[in-house]
Amino acid sequence: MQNTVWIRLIVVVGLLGLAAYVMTPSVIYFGLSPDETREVQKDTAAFKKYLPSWAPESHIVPGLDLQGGVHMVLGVDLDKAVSDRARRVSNRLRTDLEEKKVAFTAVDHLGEEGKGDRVSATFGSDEAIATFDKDMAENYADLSEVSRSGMTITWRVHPDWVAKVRADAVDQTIKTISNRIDKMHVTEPSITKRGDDQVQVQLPGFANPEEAKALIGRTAQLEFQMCDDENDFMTRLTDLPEWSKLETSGYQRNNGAYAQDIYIDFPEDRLKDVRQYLVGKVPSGTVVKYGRLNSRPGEEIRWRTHTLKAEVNLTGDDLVNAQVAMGSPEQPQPYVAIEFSPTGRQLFGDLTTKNVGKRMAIVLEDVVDSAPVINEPITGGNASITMGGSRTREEMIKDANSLALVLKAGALPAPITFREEKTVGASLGRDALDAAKSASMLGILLVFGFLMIYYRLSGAIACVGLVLNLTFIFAILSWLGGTVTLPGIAGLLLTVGMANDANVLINERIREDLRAGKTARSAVQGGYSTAFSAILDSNITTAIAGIVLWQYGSGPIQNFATTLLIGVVTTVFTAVFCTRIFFDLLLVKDRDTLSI
Amino acid sequence: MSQKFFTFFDLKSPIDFATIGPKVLTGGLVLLAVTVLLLPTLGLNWGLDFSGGSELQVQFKTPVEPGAIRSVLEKEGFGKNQVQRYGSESQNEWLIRVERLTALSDDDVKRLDDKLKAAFPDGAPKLEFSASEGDRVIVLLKAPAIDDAVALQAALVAAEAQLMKTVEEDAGLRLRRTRAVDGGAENTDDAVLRDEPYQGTVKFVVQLQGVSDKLSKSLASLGELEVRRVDFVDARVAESLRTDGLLALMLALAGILIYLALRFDIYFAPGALIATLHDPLLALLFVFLIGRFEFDTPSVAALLTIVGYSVNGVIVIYDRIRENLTADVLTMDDVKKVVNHAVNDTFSRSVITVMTTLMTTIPVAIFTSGAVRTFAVTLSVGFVIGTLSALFIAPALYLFFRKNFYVAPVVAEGEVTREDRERGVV
Repeated sequence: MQNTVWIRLIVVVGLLGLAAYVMTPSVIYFGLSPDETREVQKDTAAFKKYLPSWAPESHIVPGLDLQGGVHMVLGVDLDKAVSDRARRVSNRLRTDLEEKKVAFTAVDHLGEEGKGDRVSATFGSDEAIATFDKDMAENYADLSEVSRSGMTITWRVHPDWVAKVRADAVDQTIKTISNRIDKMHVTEPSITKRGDDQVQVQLPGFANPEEAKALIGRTAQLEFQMCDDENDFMTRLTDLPEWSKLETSGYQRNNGAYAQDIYIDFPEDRLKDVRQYLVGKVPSGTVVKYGRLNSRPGEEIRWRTHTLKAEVNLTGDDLVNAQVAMGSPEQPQPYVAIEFSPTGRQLFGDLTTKNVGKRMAIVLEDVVDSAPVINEPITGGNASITMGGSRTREEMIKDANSLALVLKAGALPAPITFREEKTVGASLGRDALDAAKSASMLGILLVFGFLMIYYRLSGAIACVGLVLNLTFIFAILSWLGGTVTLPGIAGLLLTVGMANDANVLINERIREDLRAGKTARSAVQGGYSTAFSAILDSNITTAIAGIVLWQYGSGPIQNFATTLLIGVVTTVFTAVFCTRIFFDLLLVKDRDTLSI
Repeated sequence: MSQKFFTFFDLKSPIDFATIGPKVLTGGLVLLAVTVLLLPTLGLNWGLDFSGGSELQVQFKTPVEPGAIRSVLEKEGFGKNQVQRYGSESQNEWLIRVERLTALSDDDVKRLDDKLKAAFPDGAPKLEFSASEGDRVIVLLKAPAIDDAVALQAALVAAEAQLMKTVEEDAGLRLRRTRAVDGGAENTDDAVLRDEPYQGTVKFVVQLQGVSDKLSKSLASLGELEVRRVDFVDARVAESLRTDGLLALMLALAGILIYLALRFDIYFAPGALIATLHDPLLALLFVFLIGRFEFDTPSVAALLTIVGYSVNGVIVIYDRIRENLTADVLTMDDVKKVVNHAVNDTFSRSVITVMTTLMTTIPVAIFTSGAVRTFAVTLSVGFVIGTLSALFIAPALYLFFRKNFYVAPVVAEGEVTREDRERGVV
């Protein structure tokens, strides 16, 4: 062992270098001033500018309990998703029968029976039933027949489809919630599936649970706003970023007046930068929203700004129904027909009457879908969103379908309930962080002080081992981009306390051997080799508890388990491998005494 | 050349663990019996994760009396509540827990039902509500008019803004587009499309205010406040957390059991297992049954950690016993000597390890609060118990099993067996 000491030292120094490299972002992250932290929390990408170019990006994230935030578990009503499916199939069947001119008197979705998965149709004649069986039944693989009596057939949604719908509903919920949360500017939100029908949402740094719940659970995401084409503030912007360009396109209003649509055209990935750029430049009473520009397949996707009046005139709350219509020979694009409620009808009628000739933006989930010119007052309570773009008809129909679905079901595929909610205010988070700091300081000082008094120089070596241990744990956490919560810090401290057991085992063995009259060198050798099996045992039992905890726990518990498990690995490495190097270095000159 | 070491332990006067051990074991067993007795009678003080409910931590700007808080809660129908001061008196901070999971009290439900019947006399209105998943009320109306969602909004949501947020219609059941066929089924070209009001039952979903929202709004009448923490766990989640927690404890014990079975022979394994079971149970007794700390998910984590720690303590001592059990140790007296020697040899290690571990857990218990403090307290208590049981109970158990269940290895005729020697035959 003696002759390899320098090689081992190089290995440890090398690992320390690597640890320093992966820890750099974490050190920088926790060194940010409160203002800078807020900035980084708003926009993850902003963190890059504080990093040296060579540094990795993942860093340790303070947990919800340390920086404040909202943790929620949502239950997804899967029965409702299945029921929705049945309803859609019944609509399809009805349209189909109408198109194929098969005589029927009613197609119903039986909402009350069998958890809403039943559909029934009453046909007009035996021939109609025969036609259905022969020509159409194969198109309805998602239904399985339950009963047939007289002219009426009843189906239920096929079990295979039920399974698919249920799985899709949870995935779709996660996707929709992610999209909505993206707009809340929360750093590193986590939205994950939990169990069969639950979604866990974590929003670090977000303080208002009711606002979060409203945003996540809301149904209205469709807005109608008037375009503010009289506002030409954009023409006065002199410092437009180089990757963007100012465009104007004129159009004639039907009173003969000429109007201009002024916008900034920019590449898709610059959306955040444009947002940032326009902060403070938009006049009051006006908002800027964004929408996709039409592009051909293969072309770069570009976005544009829309200058809108701030007032939201109408929302999805006023919408009763949305359906896909296939278009006509004159206007071949499929479109989504929107039907308003009586109040919505009134509002929409007024709005379009007052603003004939102007453009109205249809804003979906805060993205401008289109901004057509109002040619005439629309008082019938119907509006339509036409699918555009240079896509195939099939793609457009698919888009129209999903748009209609989004509008109708409020984007969430099934209703959600809030089953668990934990919110920690930012001030409490700060208190917790302070508590964690104080506890760590005191704990580490006590342990280090004790070790140095009790074991003298060997105690100091043990302390170096513990510092290395903590360094490696932090490095691994930083590399994994792990979260550190209060229980996680407790786990870390516990690791320090228990890692010490390895040092104590070794040092006590060395002392025993020295008492027995062995030389320092052979005592060290004996101490390490006899203590090893006990050290291994101690860490294996901790690992067993840790693995079970990691399986069981969610959030903070899992965090505790993670640090405990990482600690097991680093403890064995530092206590057995690293500290030995220092003993060997001490004994290189063949000294016979050891300060222990 | 003999070196002097700084030490707290005088090895010249070893402790007779083999004699004290059985007494400690008896004490431990009595306490175990007490635990088993108290667990069903006294019960645990369940934390929110396991009981379900809502908890708010609020800080008032000005001093507030607990009685005032309670009366506000009772006025809002939160009869089952706990109000506790948090931190020092000058902090004006309170922990408020209510058992109910919904903003609706029974009285509210009744009143809403009456209102509903008055507003929709023809619709045979039905109010469906389950208190355990109570963030919504379902209203069923028969053959509703087209604008019933609007009417419902006006009748309930607007009038009960404190309780309700939005009405949503369960889409799809609303209008039934019927194809009325005039003059025979074949003649479908003449069919007229006609929208008819649906005659069946339509479901409306009324979204309720959150409990925490309602609580903080009503507490605001006592003065300006900051809501520092909100916890809400519904009954289903609480239930699944309870099962998962129990399962985790069982799994950990099973894992340790398998490890012990692989690691030790039949005389060591039972002692290790009993000591391992003993420690978390006594921690449960002292911290949660007598100390009345709240039993929450971190408490399960703490008990699991204690299991790991205590097995480890036992293993170190048993290993030392095994190491010293050479072939010539045959009489029970010799075995006792070996055990005493082993425990004394590892005594300083046991004490120093528990000391340094406590040096890290006690500061956490001092500086933190709530669940994390409970966690640190449980660990500290558990580690002390674990050390004591490793020093006294585990060796006593080993001696017990060795004495009563020892089967001598089969020996060839003429050789001296242990029994012979003990009986003094030889």
